Amino acid sequence: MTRALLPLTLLGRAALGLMRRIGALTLFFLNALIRIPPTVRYPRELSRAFLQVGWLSLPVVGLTAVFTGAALALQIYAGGSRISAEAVVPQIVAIGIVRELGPVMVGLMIAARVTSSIAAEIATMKVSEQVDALVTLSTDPMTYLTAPRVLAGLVTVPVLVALGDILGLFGGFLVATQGLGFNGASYVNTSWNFLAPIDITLSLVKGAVFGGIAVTLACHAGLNAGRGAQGVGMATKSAVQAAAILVLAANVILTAVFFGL
Amino acid sequence: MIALEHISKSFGTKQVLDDISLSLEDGTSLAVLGRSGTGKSVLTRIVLGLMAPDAGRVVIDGTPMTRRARRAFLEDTGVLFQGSALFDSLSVWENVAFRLRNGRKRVGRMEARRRAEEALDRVGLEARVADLYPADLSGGMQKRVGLARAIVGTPRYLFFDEPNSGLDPVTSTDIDALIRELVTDLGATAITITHDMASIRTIADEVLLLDASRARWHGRVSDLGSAEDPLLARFLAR
Repeated sequence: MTRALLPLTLLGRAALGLMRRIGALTLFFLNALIRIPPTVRYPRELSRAFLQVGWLSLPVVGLTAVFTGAALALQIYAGGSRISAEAVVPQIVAIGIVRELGPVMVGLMIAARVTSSIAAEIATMKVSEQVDALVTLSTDPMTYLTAPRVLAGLVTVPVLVALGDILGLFGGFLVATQGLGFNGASYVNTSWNFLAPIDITLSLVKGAVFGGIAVTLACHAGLNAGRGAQGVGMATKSAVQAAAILVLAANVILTAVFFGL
Repeated sequence: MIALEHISKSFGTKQVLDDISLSLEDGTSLAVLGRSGTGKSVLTRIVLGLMAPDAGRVVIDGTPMTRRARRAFLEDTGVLFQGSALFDSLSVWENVAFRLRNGRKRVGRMEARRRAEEALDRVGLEARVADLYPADLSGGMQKRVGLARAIVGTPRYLFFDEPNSGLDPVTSTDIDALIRELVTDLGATAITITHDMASIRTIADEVLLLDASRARWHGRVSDLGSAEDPLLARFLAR
């Protein structure tokens, strides 16, 4: 092989590695999906997963959404005033939060909070032989550990996104009416009338996809963790990194698909 | 009966097990002995189906270990892991009763708790421990809970991975005596990984010495004294 071909070879290897990883993750996700019905045997694990992914994420998601909505309203107002378009604040905040910032912020918060905790928990179980113990106790780790969490990710993250959207809009509303002189009733009417059903659908679909990505990556990294504390750390770090990047990549793809771009 | 037929396993270029064959009669307690890194745990993991061999096969009661056979085998198997491997999120009794609550032959919550407390009593733990969590227990108590979990379904096969590691000599002796008693009472076929010769004399009927990825010596505990293997002699001299 000549030196000139070396970059091409490295690029090819990296591309093949990426494809292999995506393939493995897709199979892992499908394996988890087909194990969702049998998880009804483990109501306790299901409720723990819903609590861990959904309920306990509410405070961080809510606060992030409120602050993001408030900051967005201020930005739109400041930017709009340069071209005498301050009045567009309700419309831009509505579309910006519902289509884009709500789901992305929730997706990233879930990637940071839930992916890290699930990956660390399952990786610790792996290195302390608890996953092996499950197998020897005739329990499939995919059904017991992964499927409840994937189901929780698919169901609760869209709900979190919906709440994040509402709270983000509320943040914008608060700043606009209390600080920027907008009338409350007309702000709400303008925002509501401007949003189309496809915006809300896109927001919720993004939530489900981001939730699936964040939780699948966490479980996959946890179950494939290396040995010892270092293995747990590596699994957690790689899961969070991959989840954050994939959430942002999926966001671009979903937006393009929904709007036929 | 557990039979291993020409089992080999490598990790990369490192051969860990090379052509290991062994037959273990029902009700026999085998201790697997060897220096660190000689494949003792790998051998046990292969028997349990947690790892696939590169070559050879495991045969249980004359049936080769297929997926279905493995499921049936594990239903009848109890394992004590080196670090106990108790589930942190479950209380002691829930750990012990895990198989009864989640396995194929399920029982109700009350019955599961009763049988878990029975198993805890058998390993010398009081019923008040039942509602504690693994993090509340000492290493010795965790081992006992692990033992209780292993025996709760009255299994035919028992596996113990270094049952004395990390324990003081007194607790270690107690655990050995307990294992011997349980294996005898249940009439189970047992495989124990250990480095400890005192343990072996208490809990085992037979010894398999692994070295350099091969089975170096296999015989009865009563024959240990007359064995002429130099490595075995070094273990015995400890």
